[in-house]
Amino acid sequence: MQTATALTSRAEPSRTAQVPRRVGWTPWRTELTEVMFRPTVVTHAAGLALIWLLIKDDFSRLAMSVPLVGLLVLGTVELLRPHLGARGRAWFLVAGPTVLSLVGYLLVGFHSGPTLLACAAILVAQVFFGPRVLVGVALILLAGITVASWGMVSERLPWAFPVRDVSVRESVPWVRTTLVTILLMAVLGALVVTIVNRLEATVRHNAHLYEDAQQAVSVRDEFLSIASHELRTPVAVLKLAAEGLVSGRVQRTPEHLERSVRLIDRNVDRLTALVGQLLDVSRIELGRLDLRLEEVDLSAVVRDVVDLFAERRDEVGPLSLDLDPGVVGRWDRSRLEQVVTNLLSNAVKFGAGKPILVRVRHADGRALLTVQDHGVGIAPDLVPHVFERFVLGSRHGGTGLGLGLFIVESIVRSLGGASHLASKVGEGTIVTVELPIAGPGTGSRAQP
Amino acid sequence: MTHNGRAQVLVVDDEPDMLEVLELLLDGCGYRVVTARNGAEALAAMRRSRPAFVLLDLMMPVMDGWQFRAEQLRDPTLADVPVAIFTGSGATVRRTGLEGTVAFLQKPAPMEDVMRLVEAYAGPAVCNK
Repeated sequence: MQTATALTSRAEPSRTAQVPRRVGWTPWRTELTEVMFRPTVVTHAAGLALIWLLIKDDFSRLAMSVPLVGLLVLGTVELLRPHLGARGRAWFLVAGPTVLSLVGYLLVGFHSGPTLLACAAILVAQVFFGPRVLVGVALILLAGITVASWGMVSERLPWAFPVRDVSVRESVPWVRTTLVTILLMAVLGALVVTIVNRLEATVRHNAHLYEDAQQAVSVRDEFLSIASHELRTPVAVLKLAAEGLVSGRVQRTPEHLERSVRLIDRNVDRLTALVGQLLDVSRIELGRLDLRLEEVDLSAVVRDVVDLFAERRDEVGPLSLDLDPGVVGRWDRSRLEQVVTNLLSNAVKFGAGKPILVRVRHADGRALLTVQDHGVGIAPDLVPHVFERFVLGSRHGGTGLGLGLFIVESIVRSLGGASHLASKVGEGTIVTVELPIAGPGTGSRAQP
Repeated sequence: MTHNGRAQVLVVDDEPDMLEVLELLLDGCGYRVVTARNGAEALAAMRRSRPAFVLLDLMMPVMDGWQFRAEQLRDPTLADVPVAIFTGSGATVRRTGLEGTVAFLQKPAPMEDVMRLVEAYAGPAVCNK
């Protein structure tokens, strides 16, 4: 039952459903690990760290400026990544730091040696593996080795093994120092970026909330303007007809008096129906469409409604009924009357006076109600939205509030059924409503 | 403009009941009422017989009030027929394209307002009171 509903009827007819999904919140830990291997993060964090170290001591300003520039080049490439071709990226990534490190190596000796090796690692990663993660790892290596090698020499890193004599560097625990540095840099970079991401997500989240609110307000405005337009018309007819009678401007012949009274009667009905629709919509939106379930004969309901139409309207085109007898189910009689009334008045309204067919069938534990007209049809781009509010109303060249099919669909859904609509411009429209004979799901929610 | 001495008023509205009630009122007051359910019908009616005054709804299928005004102004024989807007739309309705209309009435307007306009442009009412 539920599956059929989900497949065939709009699961969420309200317009707010079309608002883009908000940014989700991922757990901190996932975000941290993901961010740690982001090349942009690492290179920029490393660049910042190097700047800090350079400011503190100008011992190897020249040496440090080389990998620093290399790292910043890499970060920039990462930022430009979406705009560069694959080949351009590879050349940038490899050539930039490699050339700079080579120059550095030649200028200041061993300091840049590890940097050069890391650049070679990047080259390999980029050429043979390509994926972002490898580049990220390589960049962390590059940054860590650079900082660590400088730290070992300058004793600036608290965890570095002090080396005063460069010539004995083979004996120092450079692996440990380098690893600790790499780890710290990765964590630092990840932290910075996580915080930035959080801020960005918050900003985006707020922007979406604002958009949601704006959209809700504009839907409400649109609703009010349509509703007031629709309510004003029958009120205007009532006012003119009543004033005409009171002032005596309408001729007091029996024919003219009868026409005036009929106008008043008809427009009071129209107002009542409009107010009823508005109330139904607010009930539907609050999820409070109350159902009074009882044994109901669908064919009998159709016959009653058709009789009422024949009584009240003279412009109904030829109407043929094809009703299976004994299609009895556990439904709400007045809600079903509403469904049939709305479908039939649409068929009359858009039917161009051509034949209308109403069919009731019993099949497989389900009742099928079909209302078919041969009128103007519905534009293909509107068909997917016909069960939403306002779609066939005065906003799109129709008449009325455009709530008829929305209410039909909501009632049918709350009765556990589904609604379908097919239409071709110039050929007509066919609406089919499927209702489970057993009524809305056993013990399941009856609300839409 | 007059037909058997009766001034002709053209009422344009997609709502049949609105057409009928105005017909009842104006017919009883000595005007000849012609009705149209959209702008296209209204133009056709005006070309058949030029009215003294037009009461125009805005939101209509086929050809709405704005399109009607544009077409009317394009036709030199019809451009000077006075047109009053009579609409259920609120004050926020688009006014561009409605310049030169003689009045803007919002539904539901009192009958006297409608009658005063008709009298101003189609001559005094002769109601059978």
